[in-house]
Amino acid sequence: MDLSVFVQLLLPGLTTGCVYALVALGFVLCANVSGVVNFAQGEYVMLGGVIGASLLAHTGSLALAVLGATLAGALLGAAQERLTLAPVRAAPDFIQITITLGVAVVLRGIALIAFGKDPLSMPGFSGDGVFEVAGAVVPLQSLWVWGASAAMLAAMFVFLMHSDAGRAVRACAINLQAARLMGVDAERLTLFVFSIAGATAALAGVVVTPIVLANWDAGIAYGLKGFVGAILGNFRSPVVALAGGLGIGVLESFAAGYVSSGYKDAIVYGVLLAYLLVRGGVFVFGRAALLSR
Amino acid sequence: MKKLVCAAALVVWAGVAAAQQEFKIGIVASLSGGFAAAAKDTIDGWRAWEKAHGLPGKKITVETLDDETNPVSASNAFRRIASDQSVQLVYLFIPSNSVMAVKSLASEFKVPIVAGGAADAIGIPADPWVFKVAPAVRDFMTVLAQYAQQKGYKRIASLNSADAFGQAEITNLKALAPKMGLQVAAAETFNVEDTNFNAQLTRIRAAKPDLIYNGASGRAAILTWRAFQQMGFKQPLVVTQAAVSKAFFDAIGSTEAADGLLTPMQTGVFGGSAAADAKLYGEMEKALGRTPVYFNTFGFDVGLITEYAVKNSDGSRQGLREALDKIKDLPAVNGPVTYTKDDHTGQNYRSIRMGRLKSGKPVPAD
Amino acid sequence: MKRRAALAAFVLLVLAYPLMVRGSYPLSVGIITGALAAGTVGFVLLLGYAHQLALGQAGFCMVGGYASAILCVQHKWDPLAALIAGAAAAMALAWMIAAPILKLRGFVLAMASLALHLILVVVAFETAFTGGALGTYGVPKFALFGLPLASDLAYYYVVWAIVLAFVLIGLAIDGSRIGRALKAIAASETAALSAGIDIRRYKLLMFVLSAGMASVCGSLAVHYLRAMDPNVFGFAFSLNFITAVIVGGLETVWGGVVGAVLVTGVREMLRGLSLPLWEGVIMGALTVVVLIAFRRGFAGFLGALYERWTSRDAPPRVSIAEPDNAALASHGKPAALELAGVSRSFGNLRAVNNASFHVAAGSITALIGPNGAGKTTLFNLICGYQPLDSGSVSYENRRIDTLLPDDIAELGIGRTFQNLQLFDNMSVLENVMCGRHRFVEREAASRSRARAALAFVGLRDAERLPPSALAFGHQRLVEMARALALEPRLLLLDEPASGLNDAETERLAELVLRIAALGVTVLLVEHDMRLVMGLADHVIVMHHGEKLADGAPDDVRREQAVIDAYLGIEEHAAA
Repeated sequence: MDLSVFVQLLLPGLTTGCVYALVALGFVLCANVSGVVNFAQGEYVMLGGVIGASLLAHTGSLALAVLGATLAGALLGAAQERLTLAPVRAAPDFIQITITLGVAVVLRGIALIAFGKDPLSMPGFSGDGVFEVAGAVVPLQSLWVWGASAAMLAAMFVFLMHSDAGRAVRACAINLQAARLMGVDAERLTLFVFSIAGATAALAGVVVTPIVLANWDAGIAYGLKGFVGAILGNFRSPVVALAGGLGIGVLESFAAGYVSSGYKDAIVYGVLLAYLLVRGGVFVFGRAALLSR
Repeated sequence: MKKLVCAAALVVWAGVAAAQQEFKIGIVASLSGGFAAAAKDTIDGWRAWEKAHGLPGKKITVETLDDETNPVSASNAFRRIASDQSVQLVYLFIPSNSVMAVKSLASEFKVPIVAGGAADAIGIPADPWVFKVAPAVRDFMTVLAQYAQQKGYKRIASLNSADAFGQAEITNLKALAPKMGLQVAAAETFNVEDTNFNAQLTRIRAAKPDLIYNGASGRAAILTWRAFQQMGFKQPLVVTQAAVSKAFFDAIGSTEAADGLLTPMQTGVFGGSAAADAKLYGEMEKALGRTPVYFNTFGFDVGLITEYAVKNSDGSRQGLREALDKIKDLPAVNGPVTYTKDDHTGQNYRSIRMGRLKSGKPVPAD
Repeated sequence: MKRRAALAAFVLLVLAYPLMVRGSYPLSVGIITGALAAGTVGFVLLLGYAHQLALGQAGFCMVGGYASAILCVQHKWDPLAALIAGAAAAMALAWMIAAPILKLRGFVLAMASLALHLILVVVAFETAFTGGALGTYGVPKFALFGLPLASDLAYYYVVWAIVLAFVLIGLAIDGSRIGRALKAIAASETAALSAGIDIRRYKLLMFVLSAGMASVCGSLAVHYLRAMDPNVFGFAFSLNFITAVIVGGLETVWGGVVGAVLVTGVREMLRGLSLPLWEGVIMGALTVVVLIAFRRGFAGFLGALYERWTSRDAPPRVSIAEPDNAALASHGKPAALELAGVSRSFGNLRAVNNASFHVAAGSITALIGPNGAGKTTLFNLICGYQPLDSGSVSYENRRIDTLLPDDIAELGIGRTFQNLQLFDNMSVLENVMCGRHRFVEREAASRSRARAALAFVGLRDAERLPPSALAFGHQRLVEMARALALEPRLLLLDEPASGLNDAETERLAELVLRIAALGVTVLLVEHDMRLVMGLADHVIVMHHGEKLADGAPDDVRREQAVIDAYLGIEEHAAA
């Protein structure tokens, strides 16, 4: 097997995988604390990209663009939680989830109207050059993507393990009812977590834009692939979700490279479907599934 | 005396009325969606024809509906326009998929249709009411293959979009290749919304081609061009005509950055003496007021065809259809137009030349 | 009455529409709306009744569309036959995907359905037999039993006739045992299981049925478009379904019809105003706003208006009637229950530790103990809501500890819940009728047996009311009636006196005795010592998950260990 081909497929796969991993993480955090799968998660990546590219074009300052995009993600995430989920906290889960779907559609629609249908671009943060690894050519911007993702994950790790709010989040993941009984203010925590999820997704979106451009309809694919990552971890374990997201990025790249570029989506979604079917088939005793968290 | 004045007035009025005989054209165009830029250019080109030639003795009125670049809306818009009995002729300035959706309905509404779109299936098999203008994918691939053969290249790699257009490209290329001593070393596809072409380019590189054809347009054109640069491809690169646009030059930095790119283009785009009909080209450029791009030339040619049909018929739907069917070697900006009973493609490879980009403009490549 | 009014309005509007508009374009819009409605009616069954947010419903539309296109164009099939074949294929596909996946918790089916859809899109693009990216063209007009429908008007009527048929199917489901089961599942899955309702089966049924209807939607659309390609039924189309059903109304199949009309209307209006880009924002915003502010949707709103117009006075307050002891006849031998070495831990906490006891047939046995003793856990273990770590539970000498709660209910074990689990979305009578679920019988029989159970507990007059209109004590009786309607041989009561005053507790004791007299073994968990000592033949005391004592009431309460652990202070009061 040709090593350069392998590396040429692996590294870019890891780059997109970083974005999927962050989306997956956002899914897991929000779901654990609020019980809701936030279908708008992928849209925050898209928004980070289009807002960042726009800000750069208007102000010429990269720092402003990145900070602005991240802040926008945080604010929109908080707004989504406050305006559309807080009022219906008592409603059945499927209603809340459908609301997040509605929000996703609105965000897409607004992006189309505000930023147009053409893709927006940004120059690489340190230029548009490339570097070589084992005969494979990789854009320099990939280093920024990896770096930013690693930084965000490290921050997330510190937060979850060593801060009060982070411990509260982990408690909710293990048993929401017990956590509430222990005095965890799930409502405030939900606002915080949605904000964080929005911010990290937006930052990922702006950092990856120089490589893939930013377009109004990119959110769904990010959301769906991030979701695959989250579900491999059964929506409980952030670590598995991360690994899952990275894995899906790499799988997508390998599927396109080694099997067929036309069928790559079918392979990625086929993996999701196969995984679910197998888990359902082997899942003999449905009892544990019947009790609510 | 009074009677004479009245009679004179009546005659003048009748003359004016006759001179202002209305000719209504229904246009289904992509006013929104992915094809909007191309549709707008086409309409501009058609307006240039209207200004330069128009229909003598007739007042042209136009009703335009949006297909939103999707076949379902195209189908609906067509139904709406074709049901209006005052519409004599329909233009379709929409992509191939949408044209095919309308083609299924053409015989039901019985109104002559002049359509764009590059798909071969639009013109062959011929529908009595649907007349394609502009060469088909088959013809672009013919020019590509001829160029490769002429240059002595043996291995071609092709990157095509996973849609009707792309599929037609690769099907035609694969059919032509053996006849011209060429080999399709790699045939890769991509989805129009894809942003990552790493896998496809990796496989193309591994296939060691002499010449590479890239059928991407829009965002994909920008990203693939960048990827080709970054991965250090040295082979000559042929892109599709539709890829070369202002947005493309903006995104890659400058028009000079694209110097050396090859692209098979309608002769009308080369302008001047390279155009199939230099005189018509000059008229178009003058009426447009700027350098025409491809879709402008197409719009102008649609006007020329209309002109012929109206001149050679009674202006009714059936009459126009019959006149269109008789067109043989009609001069047009891009190349002569011919319709036969079995082939309503209109223009063919004679309307195309391989060009090379230089400072954003094509010059004949040889 | 409301149903008849709705049907009449529907038929009238469908007939009148072609007469009110001119030109072929509005008629085309009417046809497309009808095709969409055929799909959305099915989607109400899935999202509104079974609460499954399927994101890939358009995938089933594709199956129908391609089936019709390929079979009619390439194989010259009759369009009606192709439509049916497509629906069958879609339903088979839906069954294969959902049967395993519905065993999983959470919104996996939503994403699985989207994944399936996207896979189908890729397959449609890439394979030759679907025509690839260009698709299949020249689809003939629809024909009914061999007679081609030449005019658009004829097709319009055929499409809406199909919609009417689907609506009637939906309404039939609504008023049937299946409809009650779905409503029960929506209100309380725990209680639904206790009535013997197999949750997965009904969700699966709705998923398969809605897939078939989506397929018909696809076929009907394709015969109108006369062409089919992979772009026709994309993700945006699935979103249309969701928006239509939310805005139209989730609670009734009419919501699907109303929603289809509204969504199409909005789109046409936007097109007229040349604002097509706003469609996404407006649809998404409508979805969010309706779900937050008026969840019943537009159809629900119309229904509420109708109710306001035709309402009678407020229902009278219900007082408890004299219970009719003759209402229920004895239904067989009471059953015995045997627990041997049952243990269950949660992490480090041993909730139940090696519990063994025998509940004699026909006895009234009480399970008592301080809070945290493991009583409710034991109930959950017996009824199948929790798996055992070790040990066995036998019912009439048959091991039941590996069964699921609905299977256990089917065997004739009924239960009530400490924190009342009634179905608020149904009337009292319908709640009790849910208890009849394990019997396959005609509606009339189900209704009369449920009435008998209600009469037995003295609530005959309350049958039309929603449970929330009753006093708490009466609500407890409704739950008892529901459990009795199951004709149990073993009845588990979880703290039945909790929240009752003295008089109500007295009546409860009488009721329990009467139930035992019917031939039912009763096992109850209780805190109220007076009730227990007066009622029970046999008392089991639990403490820290272990059995502390087991015997006749008088013997147990004299045991030192019991006094120390539990009765301590009471001993003085009771003596």
